[in-house]
Amino acid sequence: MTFRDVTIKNFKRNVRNFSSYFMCSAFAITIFFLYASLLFNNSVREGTAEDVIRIVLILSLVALTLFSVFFINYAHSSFIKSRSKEFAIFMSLGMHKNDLQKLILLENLIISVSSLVAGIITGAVFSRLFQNIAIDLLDLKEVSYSFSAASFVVTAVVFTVIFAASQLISSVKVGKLDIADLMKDSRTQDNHAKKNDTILGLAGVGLVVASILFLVLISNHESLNTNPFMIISYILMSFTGIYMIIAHLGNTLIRFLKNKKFYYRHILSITEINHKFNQNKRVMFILSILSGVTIFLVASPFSLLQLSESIAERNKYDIEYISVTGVHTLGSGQLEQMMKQSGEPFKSITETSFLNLKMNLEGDKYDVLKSKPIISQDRYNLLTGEKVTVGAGEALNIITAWEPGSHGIDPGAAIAFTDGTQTFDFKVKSSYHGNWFATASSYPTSSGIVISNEDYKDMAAKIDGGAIGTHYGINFTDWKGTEGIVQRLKDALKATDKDGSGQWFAVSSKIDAYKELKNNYSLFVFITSLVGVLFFVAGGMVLYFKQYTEIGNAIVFFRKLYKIGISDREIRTVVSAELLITFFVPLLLGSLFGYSFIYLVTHVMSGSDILGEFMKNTTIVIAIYFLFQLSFYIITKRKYVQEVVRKLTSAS
Amino acid sequence: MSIVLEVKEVKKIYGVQNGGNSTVALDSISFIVEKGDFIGIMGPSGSGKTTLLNILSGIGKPSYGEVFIGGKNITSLDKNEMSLFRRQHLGFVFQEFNLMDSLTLKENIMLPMILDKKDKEQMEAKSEEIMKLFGINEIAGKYPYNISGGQQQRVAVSRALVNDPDIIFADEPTGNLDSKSSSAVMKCIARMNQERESTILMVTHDAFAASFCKKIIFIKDGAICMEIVSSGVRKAFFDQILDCLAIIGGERNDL
Repeated sequence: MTFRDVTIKNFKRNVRNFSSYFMCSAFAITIFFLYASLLFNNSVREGTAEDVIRIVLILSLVALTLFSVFFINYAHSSFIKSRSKEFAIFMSLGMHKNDLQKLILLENLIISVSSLVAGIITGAVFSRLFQNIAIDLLDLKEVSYSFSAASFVVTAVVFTVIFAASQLISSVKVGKLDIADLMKDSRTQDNHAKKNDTILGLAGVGLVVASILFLVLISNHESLNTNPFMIISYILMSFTGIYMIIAHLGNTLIRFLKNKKFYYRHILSITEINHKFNQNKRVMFILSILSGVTIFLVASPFSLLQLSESIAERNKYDIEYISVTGVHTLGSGQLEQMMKQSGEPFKSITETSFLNLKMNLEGDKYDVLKSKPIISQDRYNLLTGEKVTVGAGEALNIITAWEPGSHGIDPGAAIAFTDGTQTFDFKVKSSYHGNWFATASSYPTSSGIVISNEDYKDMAAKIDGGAIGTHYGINFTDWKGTEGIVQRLKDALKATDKDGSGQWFAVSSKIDAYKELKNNYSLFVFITSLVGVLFFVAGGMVLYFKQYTEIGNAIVFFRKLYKIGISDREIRTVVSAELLITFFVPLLLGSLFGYSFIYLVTHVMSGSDILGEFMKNTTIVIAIYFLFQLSFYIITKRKYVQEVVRKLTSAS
Repeated sequence: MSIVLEVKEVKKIYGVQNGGNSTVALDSISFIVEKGDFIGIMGPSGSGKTTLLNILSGIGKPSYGEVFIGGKNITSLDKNEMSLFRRQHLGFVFQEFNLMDSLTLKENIMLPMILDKKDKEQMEAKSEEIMKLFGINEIAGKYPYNISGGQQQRVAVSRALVNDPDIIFADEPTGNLDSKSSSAVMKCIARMNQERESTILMVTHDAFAASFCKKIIFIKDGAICMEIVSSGVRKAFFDQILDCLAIIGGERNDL
């Protein structure tokens, strides 16, 4: 029998261990490939060329790579650990360490190559399915399915490197192995609550609290909240804090609880959980981060989608358009008839007349026609609910463009309006972002002007009748069904447009605004939710693998108790408590990350007014996540307990 | 003297359901154990010692026959009732110690009481008393993997004793120990029998360990083949045991 025969025989014997390692690797590769194929999807590439999404994509790629490194390494080391006894026997029989390393290398080679092939094939099949479903579901017109060689190459390269690194680490470890240590198997462990632990655990809590305060501080400073240095310091602070909590708070708590009645009543659960925490702090930590990222990635697009509705509802009317000389001249009777025939529950038409005059200032890029809509103080107050007062000869400049600044009309400046024959001089009283009676997009300007009632009356009497415009605001019971009527109105208005100047006065409607926002966000939504799902699956995979590798230890643990006398119900209690902690503590910590990231992002988007909406949606996402996790927990618990009890009974 | 354990015509047959090749592991074994007894069960490998102990302690069930402990028929208990019965009425000492690595020694000793949700004060007092008896109170806060095998087994003996069981079952308690530790552990067990009048049933291979018993039952091929009673002098009893082992077959090598 040659050495190779030994390897092959060995492989056959360890099929169970091998298969779990293989499955994990293949799964990680599948997920990575799904992501890579998305990243290298041609239409996604084009759509995201110079966008925030690009950054999100690259960041998630890094996160996913880190996850893969960690996870494969974890799978690999628990695979090696599970076989320490076997190695000890080989070594005690005189197998040289080089031979052992060769054995491990050979096995690893088999597993890595086969899992790489299997992972990429499943990945390819699923990415087709996944992308098509996602594209259909989200109704993305600009995204189409594509396959690129790059995704194959990147996946293969990344995982070759990861496998090589794991192999290197384990061969170094094997080089240091001692037969005596191997024989002792994995019994040695540290349960002593060291003095430092108490402090470190509390310090972790302190650090997390500090990081939250820091986050609030930087978020509210416009100069700081986009500073990468600040963001990285925040992330480092909170991650370190969370890690310290996971690693040490358990010991801290036990120190406080020790010798209390509660401690003895639940001694098995408590010590077992603490033991698991000490053993699995890295798993818990990575699970916290995974769930945090998942929550963030799912909650932000979800909020944006929700937001497009509320942003659209900021429009003054469901449908509005402006009629000025020669443009959009639809008789009002005709308009009303058309609305009534639309089939949608029609509510009202509001007609507002205003002066449409040229101005002598340049304005900015929005002021294409160099003209301004002008209304009187009373009408403005009536329509908007504001309470402004404007003196004679004064003009109030209400800015409707969202960018900051006065858009070329500064307070105190002199401004003149003309209809071509007569000119009226005003002084700009004030210039600020405010409430306007019409939606900004219906008139090509950065602002509207409010003047005093007397000036308005005077001007209206003097100017040419063609300089008086009308704003039509139409309301329905529900704007969501107005798509058809908006289109018909547009067509009707276009028909009246002879010289093409109608293009400057767009029909604006809530439904169009909503559709446009949705369309703009859809790529972002598509990508983040896809990546979010990937992270969710990855989290579940880590949990599954952890339980799978631990069942052997659990059986040893309960067998000892079984002989002393422990009932199935008590086993169930201990297992439930332990699983409950493993499933939900990372999720709780992850929710903290999720909320924090969302908080930061809403402030970076300088929309503190959307914070409430985002937080609400994040809470919904977290609640759904908890529900998923709960069902996952219930299923796992049942299977796990069944397996433990079955093995316990069958052995005796 | 009251009867603690009564074994009535216990028979264990493996492989009945497969038909044909059934093996009789225990063949109509009957004996009684009285309060304060210290009984050893010896026999060659495969004679059915472990099967018998499993049945007596309720971990396995006999094919025929009944086992009474403190007047209760344990063969009729279901799995969960048996678990409860085990931790309330029985004590165990195992070859591989079976201490929980995640608990301190003191907590390990208290474990049967903890499972039974006893009072904190009661547990503290009881474990304190027993640890003093066996001279392990100074290492109470340590963990099992930090102490020697002999110490671990003494902790296990303390644990077996903590709930004042009707009977203590010991399965090769010296099997994993060197001769010095074996001696220390056996002295503990003997002391437990003398001072606290605990009833002990011990399965062993080790003639030295067996010499601490008051009575030895030899089994071979699933049946009792001999019984000897100690005169009280250990050296003499040890020789007597060796002779018996020689008679029932080639076990002198197991010294």
